[in-house]
Order: sequence, then structure tokens, then C-alpha cells
Amino acid sequence: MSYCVNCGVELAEYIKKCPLCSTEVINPNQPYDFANTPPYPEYEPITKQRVSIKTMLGILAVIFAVPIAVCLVADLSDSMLTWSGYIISSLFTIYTIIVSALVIHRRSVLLEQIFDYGAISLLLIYIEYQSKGGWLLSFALPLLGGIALSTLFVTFLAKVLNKRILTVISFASFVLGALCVLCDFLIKFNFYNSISIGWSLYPLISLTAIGTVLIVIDSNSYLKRRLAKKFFI
Amino acid sequence: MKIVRRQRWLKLDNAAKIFPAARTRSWTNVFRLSVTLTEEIDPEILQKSVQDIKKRFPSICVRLSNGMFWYYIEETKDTPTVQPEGPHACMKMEFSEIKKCSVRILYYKNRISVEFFHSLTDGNGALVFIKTLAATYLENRYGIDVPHSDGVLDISVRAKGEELEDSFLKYAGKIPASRRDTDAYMHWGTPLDERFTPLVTGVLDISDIKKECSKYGVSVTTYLASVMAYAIQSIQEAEVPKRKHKKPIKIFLPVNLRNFYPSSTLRNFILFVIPAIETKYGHFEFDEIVKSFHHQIAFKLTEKNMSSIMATNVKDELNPALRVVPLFIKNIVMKAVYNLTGERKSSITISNLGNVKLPEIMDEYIERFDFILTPQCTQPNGCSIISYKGKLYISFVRKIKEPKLEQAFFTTLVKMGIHVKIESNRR
Repeated sequence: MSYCVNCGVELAEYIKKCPLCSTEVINPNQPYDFANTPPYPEYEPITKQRVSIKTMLGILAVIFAVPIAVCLVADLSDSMLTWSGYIISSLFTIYTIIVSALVIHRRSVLLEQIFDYGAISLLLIYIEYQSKGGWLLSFALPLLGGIALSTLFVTFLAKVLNKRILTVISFASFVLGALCVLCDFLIKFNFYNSISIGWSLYPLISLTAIGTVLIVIDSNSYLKRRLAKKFFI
Repeated sequence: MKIVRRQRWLKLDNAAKIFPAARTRSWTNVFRLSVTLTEEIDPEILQKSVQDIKKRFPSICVRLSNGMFWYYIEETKDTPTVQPEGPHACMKMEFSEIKKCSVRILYYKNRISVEFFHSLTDGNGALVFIKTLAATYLENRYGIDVPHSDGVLDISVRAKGEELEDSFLKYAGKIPASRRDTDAYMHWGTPLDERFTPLVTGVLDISDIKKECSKYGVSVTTYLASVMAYAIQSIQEAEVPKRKHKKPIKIFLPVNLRNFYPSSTLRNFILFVIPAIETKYGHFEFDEIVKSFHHQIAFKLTEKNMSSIMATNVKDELNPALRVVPLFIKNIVMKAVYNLTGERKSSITISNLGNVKLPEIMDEYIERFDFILTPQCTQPNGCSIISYKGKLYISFVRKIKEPKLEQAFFTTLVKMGIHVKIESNRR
């Protein structure tokens, strides 16, 4: 028989580590014997069969190719591309985002996001080129840039610096508030020729307040423990 | 012409009503009773034995169904299938599983285990079921003749009416007791995935425990509840140093009401007492806790007190306005009431099924009994106790990573000079 040197309890013959304190059982007179009828079956993790990424990309390519081909055939009847360009470029952007989620996501979440925003920018540039709207540089790209910087910043906090979840959510609240202000400013500047902000102050104040409360909770371990217990599902 | 036998159905008893409503995505109230034989289990004979006893237990071999206003249980058409046991005890029963069959019959090496959804029965009803199952298995396997005594039922007769009654309705008093109570301290840790239920069982000699109990002049349950409170106090002192933040430590002790009333129901018929210590007042020595618990339990554990608690619970069930509320609304309200008043009022549940007695002829074929209780929804640990052939088996199941309560509890016993042997479902 073996005893735990830390807890003083006798341990069943099949136990390698004390279940109470994880102290290893070292008994030269009675080495660990797995065959000694453990009273519970061994845990065997269930491995799920997974489809390989290459197969998934191939299936997706076929799924996307069908509507693209149909659009091309329908639109080329007038011997030039008109409306189908929008559909094809949108589908291409969606496909690129899926590919980046499947392939790049594993290596770097930041790189994946940069890739995604690049694809969206290209789509916007194409739409601007086709429609000649004049909104790309003054509105769409600054707004997209703001969104991109915000998500990259929050992802950097969460994934690279490994900050705690509450810290990340609080900074995300601050950033979201700032984004509302940017959006409000760009709308007023571009479409009303005014350099001012209006409605965005309300979400800015609310989100800043939420962010501040979360930072307070995050810095108080007792409060955090109590809340975790109360809201445990 | 083929005669189709109508499946018998029963209303849920008063205590059972809360369990379907209180379930969550990761938790259902399940407990397990196991009997370990001297030889390896033959699954075919076990399946036949289950088939033999199925009709004798029309309130246990059942499935849960929902009506418009209440849940009810209904006999299953098919016999529950015996299955090999998995590595984790009392795994969550999916609601879809409960609606097909609310009981699991498992086997592993020499052991037969039965897991019950708590709406079907309490530990005492379950013990009768597993004793009868073990007796029928032994009869089928070895051809022995087991007498119908000590909780082994005669399976050749139909279930008696009193075994299926809701004794709460029969024995509830007239004056309801107040439900008001303060919240209790609950330790916490890193939550575990619901698929993992670490189990730690301490095996003790009853003679050692009885010696300690006689020193203080208390029962085994009182003594072990005091050890538990002392262990939780040590955790609280480490985790909540500020006195003003401390909450009382309360131990939830289920009480078998069959000891108070002449009921032979196999349904739920349990209430509880909750002895407590107010740790805001300062550190409690073990002697103080034992004395306090002994008097608190004696004070609360009276027939009149129990009948008034029953009256409180039954009063709501009989209220005509509440009865006509559709089930889905009842579920929401009952869950909210359960969350607000149920588990927060105690630090841990300790269920002691006591000493198992069997007909003498069965003793030579049976090695031990185990009783495992899943932790309550928001509590980190569940603790259950059963004893047989001079050994006491104390099982802890936990929902958190850290085994701090088990360690504090068993090391307290070791420090008191009691020899403890530890078993676990982990190696």
C-alpha cells in the first residue's frame, strides 16, 4: 500500500498521483501497476473525423464557380461585362475571406484580418471605378481604415498581448465609441458639408462608461469572483 | 387480435417537479447507486434481470413526458438497455434522453450501476431498486433463492399503491413554514467541461468513525457534516480574509421522511435540514461545530417541523391559479425561484444513505455499494455517503478543477486519526 506524503491518505493501488494534491506516488516496494483493476474505465477521447482544408476549399471553389459562370454567360450576351462584374467581385471577396479564415487564421489572426480588409478594399475600389461615385477616398476608405485599425488593435490585445477578457472588452468598448464618432464625422463631412459631430456622442458616452465599469471589475478580484459565481451557467 | 397494454403514467411527486424545470444546458440532477459483486457481470443476464423487474417498478423504469400544465412520468414500452459504463459518473442526461428513458443501467467489470434522474425517486427508493435488481441478477446467475426482505421486493407481484403514492400530499401539515433564509458561502474554482466529472472516493472503517462519534455523542451524519463545515471554513478563511465579506457555512442534509411517517413510497420522499455556522463571528473550533450541529439538527429534525416545510411546498402545487398556468411559463418561474432560493442557501449537499442491509444470502456475493451524487447546479461539489460491511464510502464529485474541498475534508479526517483510503476515476 502507498500513502500520499502530503495528505497522509492511503492511495488505491492503481493511482499514479494523489487525487487530492497531485503529489506523485513513489513507492519502490510497490511500483505502479496499471493492471491492478482500476475501478473506472479509462477515458478515451472521441476523435472527430475532419474534412481536410484542401477538400473544403475545392468544394467551395466549385460552389462559387457555378453562380460566377451563370452570371458571365448571362451578361456576356451583350458582348461586354456590366452588372455581373459586381456579383463576381463580391463572390470573389467572400471566397477570399473564407480562404483566409481557413488557411491564414491558424498562422496569424492579425494577418488574416489584414488580408480580409485588403480584399474588401479591392472590392470597394472596383465599385468606385465602375460607378465613378467619388466617395472612395473621402468616405469608404477612411471608414474601412478606422474599422480595420480598431479590430486589429482589439485582436492584438487579445491574441498577442493575451490580455484578460474583461480588459479586451473594455478597450473594445472605447474603440467602438471612437468608431461611432468617426462614422458620424465622415457622414456629416461628406454628405452635409459640415465639420461637426452629433448623435455619436451618446454611444461614445455609454460605451466609455461600460468600458470604465469593466476595467473596475477587472481590477477587483473579489468582485470578479463573486460575479463569476453569480453568472455561472 | 393483439392486446395492446396501456402504458401506466404518474404525476410527478411534489419534490420531483422542480428537477425538469431547474435543468440547464450543462446540468441535470442525476445520482448513481452501484453494487459491486464478487464476480464479473454478465451483460446478458443483467439485461434479463432488468426485464424481470421492470414491471415491478412502474415509477422507475419510466420516461419523462410533458403535458400542457405539468410534466408526468410514463412507463417505457421497452426495457431499459444495459450499457457499458463510461469513465465519468453521473454524466449529464440530455433532456431528449430523459424523455426516452430516465434511468441508465450500466455495468463495468464486477459492478452494476444505476443512474437515476432525480424526478423518479430519491436515494432510498433507488436503493430498493438496485437491491432488487442485484437479487434478481444473483437468482438468474447462480440459481439462489433470495428472500423478500431488507428492501428486496417480490417481483412476482404487482407494485402496491402505497409504493407509487406522493407521500408529500398525504403527510403535509396545515401551517406552512417560512422560506426566508440567508445565502450561504460557496467556494469556487476553475470550471470544468461538463463531460468531465472527477470523482474521489474515501474508504473508511465504520468502527473508526463510530469511535470518534461516540467521543462527541453524535451521529455519523452530524459528525461528517461538522468535518465538512470545518473543511469549508478553512477554504473560506484562505479565500475570503475580510470578515465583513464572509457568509455563513451551511450544510444541506437530506432527510428520509420514511423515518417519520409510515410511508413505503418508492417515489421522492425527502426533505432537508440545514445546520449552519456564522463565520462572521470568528473562527469555529471543531468541537464547537459538532456541538452546534448536534443541537441544530435535533432542534430542526422534528415531525412537526418537517410537516410544516412540506405544507409550504405542497401549498403552491395545490394553488388552483398556479395549476392552470401553462407548463412553459411554470418552467420559467420555477427555475427563477429555484435559482433565487434553492441552492444559494447551502454551501454543499451531503446525502447519507446509511448502512445497507441485505438478506444474508446476498452478502457473500456482494463486495460493496457506492453512492454518487452529482453537484447541484451552481455548487462546485456533491458529497454522498453509504456504508456496507463495516466500510464507509464517501464520494465527492466536482465541477471545478481544484480538489480543494476533498483535500481539506479528508486531511481533516486524517489529522483526527482516522485512516482514509482514496480511490478515484483518474489515475
